[in-house]
Amino acid sequence: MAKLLVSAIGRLCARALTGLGTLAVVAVIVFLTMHGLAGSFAQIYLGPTATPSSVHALEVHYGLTASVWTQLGRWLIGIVHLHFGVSLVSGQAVGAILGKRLGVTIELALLATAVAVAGGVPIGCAVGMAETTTRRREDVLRGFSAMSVSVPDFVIGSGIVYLISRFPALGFRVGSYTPVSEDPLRNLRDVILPVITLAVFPAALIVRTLRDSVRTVKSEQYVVAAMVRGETTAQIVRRHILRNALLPTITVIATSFGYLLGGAVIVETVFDLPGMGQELISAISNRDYNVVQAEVVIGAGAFIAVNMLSEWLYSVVDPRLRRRA
Amino acid sequence: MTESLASSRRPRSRTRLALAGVVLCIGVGLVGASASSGALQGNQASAAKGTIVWAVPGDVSGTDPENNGQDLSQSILALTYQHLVTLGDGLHISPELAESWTQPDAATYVFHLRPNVRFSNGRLLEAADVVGSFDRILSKAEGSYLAGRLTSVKNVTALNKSTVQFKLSAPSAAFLPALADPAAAILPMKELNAGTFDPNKQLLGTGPFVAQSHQLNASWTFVPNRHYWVSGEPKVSKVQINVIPDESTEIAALRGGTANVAIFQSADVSKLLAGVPSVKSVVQSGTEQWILVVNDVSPGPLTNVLLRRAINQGLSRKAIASVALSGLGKPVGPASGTPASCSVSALKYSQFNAAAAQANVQAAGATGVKITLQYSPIYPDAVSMAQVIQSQLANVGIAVTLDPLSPGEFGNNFVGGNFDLSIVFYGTGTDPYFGLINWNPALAGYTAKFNAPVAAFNALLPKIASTTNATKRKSLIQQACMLIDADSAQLPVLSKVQTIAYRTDLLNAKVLSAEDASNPMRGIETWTTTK
Repeated sequence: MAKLLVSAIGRLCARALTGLGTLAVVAVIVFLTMHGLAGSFAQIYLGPTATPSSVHALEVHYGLTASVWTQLGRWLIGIVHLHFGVSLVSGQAVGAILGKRLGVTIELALLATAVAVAGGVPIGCAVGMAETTTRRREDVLRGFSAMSVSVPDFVIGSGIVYLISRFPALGFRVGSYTPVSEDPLRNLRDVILPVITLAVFPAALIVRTLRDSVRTVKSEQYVVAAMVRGETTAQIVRRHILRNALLPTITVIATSFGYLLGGAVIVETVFDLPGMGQELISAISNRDYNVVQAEVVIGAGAFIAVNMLSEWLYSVVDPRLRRRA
Repeated sequence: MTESLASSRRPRSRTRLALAGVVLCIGVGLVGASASSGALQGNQASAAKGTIVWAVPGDVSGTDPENNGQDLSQSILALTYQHLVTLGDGLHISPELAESWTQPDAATYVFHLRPNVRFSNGRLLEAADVVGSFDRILSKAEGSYLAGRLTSVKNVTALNKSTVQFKLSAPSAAFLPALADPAAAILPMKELNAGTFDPNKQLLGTGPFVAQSHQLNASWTFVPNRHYWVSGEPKVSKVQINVIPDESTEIAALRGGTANVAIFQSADVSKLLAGVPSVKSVVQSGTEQWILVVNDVSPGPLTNVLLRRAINQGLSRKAIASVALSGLGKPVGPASGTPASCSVSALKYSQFNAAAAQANVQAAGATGVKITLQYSPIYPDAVSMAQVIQSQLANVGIAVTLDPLSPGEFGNNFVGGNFDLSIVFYGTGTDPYFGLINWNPALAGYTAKFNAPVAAFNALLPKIASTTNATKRKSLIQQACMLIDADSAQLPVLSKVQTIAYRTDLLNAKVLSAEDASNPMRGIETWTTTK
């Protein structure tokens, strides 16, 4: 038992170290990329008609004239201490800026994933379990699935925004966000449409992935044996099929969730939700280096953490992985 | 046979535990989300009385008014900061913090400050604040662009607590308009010098509103300045500014009532909003203009003035306005916008003449010439204009390739002179002289790599700056415009417009069609809400 525990802790530490190493590489890349972009913060701040001397004066003022390696070193030391610096635009601490936005993004990510799972899993299961399916039905399903995966979320989002502004009697509104703590019902009304917009793509992926897995597992002999034993369809799906078919779907869910945690840039912009994605776009445009760098590192960290969580979930769902470990 | 996961002895309890854990995580996450997002100032339209909810396409690029060259930023900062003088109705100079001024001689101005004006922290405005503010503007260390417009200022001194004297090196007709520039904001210098106020992080001015909260790139909340010097103003209890980057979302917010006034950069918006009940659109044009910059410095065919004139004459400005700007925007000459500007009809090469353009192309030996046109797609009007210009120049024998660039890349190329043609916009600011400076590379600074100097024009500029007789000055400005027109290096195309749209059922607003681009909401402190 102690051996197992030590082994598990060792594996966890190894994974964490790998994750930290990845984060360090991401941090360096994003820093160098931002500082290598055409148009510095001072140039953007003062506009294209600024004189070179005024641009230089502003860069001196903001400490941007030190060598890029010196600036990188300072910044890396800062993030080791979880100090992400201050926004060049507002002077506010980056941690405070992103802290306020993280809640919105987490809410969107959680709800969109929940909606995608709640919709995608039953449909994927049902489609996979269908005994007979006509070619036409198969084509329709395939077409619907392809469309859901292909239509960009800004198209869906823009269409929804137009509809709710054109028909205010529907009771939804855009350009407004109420935190859950202030008014949960209003919050739900504000986020339900962006959540649905965000959920379409992962739901479609879940349906496709689970459908294929269910069809594969359905033909296994132990499933046939269960049918022969007289188990009901529901029992067969619950006890035999779903768990075996779920592994690839867990990957899809984890990847989607991790992606959403980084900030759903387009949907947040279209629906004007004050999340991380919206901040990222503005910060990149304004060359607010510290904000962009912190967001990318946090987003990457979230993705790594979610992937680690999904690996743990595999072992929960599939005991064979635990035994092998 | 593939092993079934169902054969394991304890899968159900573990699975249930895992599911319970996931549900718990979701719940904790949502609670945590509400806790941190609860710290947000909810940027919702207040159903309560007395709130102006103003939708803007972007946030400030910085909070120091003396150092900010962006109109949108200045329009937000204008809620808090004020100046000695301002542009009033008809874009004429009007008193603001200075109640009156005298000129003991042509190169000296004495301003008498309005009594009982206080900053929002309650401290009385003093002459030392004005002196310190201008010392700061003129200081090279701060890098303010306004310093380049105040080169005639020799010194600024406080004669007493409420009187400030400016001594110029020579008479300057552009001096007073420079004081109305948004960057000439008066800051609380006592607090700044004491280190208790940092303009890069805080707003503290004499204006009608005080910033209560700011969530970067999301929202601002302004409340009335209790110490505002105009009794009975502002008339609303709050100004909520919501940053809505997407124009269609801005329109939706206005339609839905979550915003009751909005600024739009695209010329199409007034047509999109036509017919929307209870929405009034005011197209504002004032002190900015679209310029087609022709690079006559880099080696190439554009160094030939005949080809540049061909480009100028090949542009039908009316057609560009009609097709690209929904009929909005007027043909302009250099530095148009203020009452002293030059007349466009007198500019020979700015009149559309396809035959003359083709003849000039041939005379320049440039038949079949190929050039690129750079622009930044963050301005939708620039995109449309670029396409129309491409088509018009093709008709006169000039092949143009469009090259859209991100703002950073565009700015870099522009300042570095790495382009053939480029679409930008210039601000005349508060006086034509400030617009005309853009055609003098030595004074403008940033145009040296793409704009060759014109000696006759450069010789006129100091006279324009110093001549105070209005009639004489207007004549000099007209001469300068004609010289620029003949050189055809930076071509004024159309006035740049922006649209202010508001809900007439929610707001009693007065929005003028001629306004300085950096203060489109002038007079907001007099607006009231209907509910």
